[in-house]
Amino acid sequence: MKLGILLSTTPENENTNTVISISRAARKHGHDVSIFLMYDGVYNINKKEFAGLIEIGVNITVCALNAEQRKVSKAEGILFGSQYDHACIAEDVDRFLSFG
Amino acid sequence: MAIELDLKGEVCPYTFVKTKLKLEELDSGEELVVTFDHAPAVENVPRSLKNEGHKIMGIEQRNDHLWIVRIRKA
Repeated sequence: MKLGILLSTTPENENTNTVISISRAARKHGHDVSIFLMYDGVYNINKKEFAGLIEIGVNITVCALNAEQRKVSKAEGILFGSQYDHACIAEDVDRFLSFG
Repeated sequence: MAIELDLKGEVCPYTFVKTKLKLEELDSGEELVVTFDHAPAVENVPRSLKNEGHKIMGIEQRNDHLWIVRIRKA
């Protein structure tokens, strides 16, 4: 199964730990996971445990505009994309969860 | 003759939306020349348009904040 996740809250919000746990569990069961970060959610790429999701095969895309506005710098393995990418994820996945 | 579209002052997602809407007015094979002054758009709009089958003929940076993207409609 393909799982899509939208996360738009800061790393201090409990949503982040929920998304990390869901992503780890999904990957453990062999599901594909694509996360789109926007608004304050872009800060999550600076959290080690979150960025570590890349190593277990999670696809992470960040809204480049929101990242630029928040001075979040580019990171290896993370696509700095746009709402087009968000729409492509939403269309492609079987289930889509939104944490806002 | 290429059609010109000035998107200076526009930011994502309107940079992509307005480019796509303009492309819809063109015939297949016609070229659109778009001006951007928003750095993230210069990476994302061409990538998204390629994903939709259009051909990126060139990306030219005129100065620190001005880019010209030439697109051929699929």
